[in-house]
Amino acid sequence: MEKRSVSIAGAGKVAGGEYHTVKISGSGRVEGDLVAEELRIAGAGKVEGAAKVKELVVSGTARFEGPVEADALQIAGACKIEAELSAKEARVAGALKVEGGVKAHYFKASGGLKVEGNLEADLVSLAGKVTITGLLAADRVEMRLEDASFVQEIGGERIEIRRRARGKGLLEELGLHFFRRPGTLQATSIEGDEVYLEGTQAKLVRGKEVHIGPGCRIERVEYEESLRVHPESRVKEEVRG
Amino acid sequence: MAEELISKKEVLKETGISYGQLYRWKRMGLIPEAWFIRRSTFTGQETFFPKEKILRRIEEILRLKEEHSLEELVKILSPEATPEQVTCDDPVSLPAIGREGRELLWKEGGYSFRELVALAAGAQALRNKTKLHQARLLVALALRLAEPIRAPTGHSLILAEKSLDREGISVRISFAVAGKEPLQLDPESKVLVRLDLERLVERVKRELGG
Repeated sequence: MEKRSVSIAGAGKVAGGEYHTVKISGSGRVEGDLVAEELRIAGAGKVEGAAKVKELVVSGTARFEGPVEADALQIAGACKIEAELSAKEARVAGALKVEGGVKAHYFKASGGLKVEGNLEADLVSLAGKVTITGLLAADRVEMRLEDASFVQEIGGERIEIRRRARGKGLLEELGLHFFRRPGTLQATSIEGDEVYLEGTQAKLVRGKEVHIGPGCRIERVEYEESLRVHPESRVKEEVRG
Repeated sequence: MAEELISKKEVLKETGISYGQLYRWKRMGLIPEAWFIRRSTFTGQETFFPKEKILRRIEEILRLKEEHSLEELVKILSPEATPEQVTCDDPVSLPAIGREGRELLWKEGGYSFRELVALAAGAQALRNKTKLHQARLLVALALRLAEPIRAPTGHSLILAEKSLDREGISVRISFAVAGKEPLQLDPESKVLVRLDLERLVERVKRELGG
């Protein structure tokens, strides 16, 4: 049987169930669990249940009251997920809050990200203000800090935390350096095979090759092969082996 | 129940694996979440593992990963992580189920991992000389334990019976219980079989992989 498609323009609601495509432009909600090939929300949308969608696109604002499972997730705008998120590929520009864990292959976010739980993926690339109350783990973790970020624990193969995006931002272009303070990250522990940090305050950093860049305050570094510390940074205790 | 623990750092040192590998395997479910035990130490929080289990698991992963992809390894070593992907058409061929389990089968084939664990529980009961209808209670109970089978540490299954003698009428009731240790029954109940769910899950897993 061919699956139905529905589209809400203006204000409206649809019952949960299986659909091919659900499009909400304007303001709409899905009452119950949703299974669909495609869900597009432009404007304001709400799913009052679990969503299992191949392609999920949000431009505007969206709220998911249950877990979200997607092959491809794309968010431009603001989105709140009140349970877990699992996605093969997630790209977020704007604000995303997940009140559960996140599992993905590829996870990229810029703007504001808040995860109340663990964020685990093969590759994670984050820019902006990030709050993760659990573990951030990936083969490769990249962060470009702006504002004050917090991650409880970070673990992976290659971890690279930089204070800001490479190249000049708009404010620097205009010569307004002082409007943009360098970002910071606070973490309890960071463990990786190759670790590079800037602007980070952490209790414990562990790795094979550890490079502490500018703007860091680390209580204890345990390293196996090499350790470099930028003269502007402070490491209280260095332990080899 | 005091299991010997080993710190994360010692695990890495002893096995030669990298942080990347450890976190990757955890992510994939090859190393169960329940094995990550947090303890506070003088340097703050530290993660420990049950020593014997983690070292054996890592050794298995390292040995098998030459021939298998990590996704295949998950199915071999941690079928509880993806139980729906495991099917077995001949449960009796697993020693944990064996000939004793034949009478417990209820379909031709296509047994899932959870169903295999349930059958193994029943077969174990039969080997302890319980009656068939009693063993079936255990099977029926284990089939409902989706979450505990995924993370079985500390869970037990008990098959028990209780006699009631009142005014010349004597009734014997059998019942099965599942729960986390310490699991207690009232003193009038007699435990016929007590199974450590983790050992059971591990055994089925091993036999499936071998």
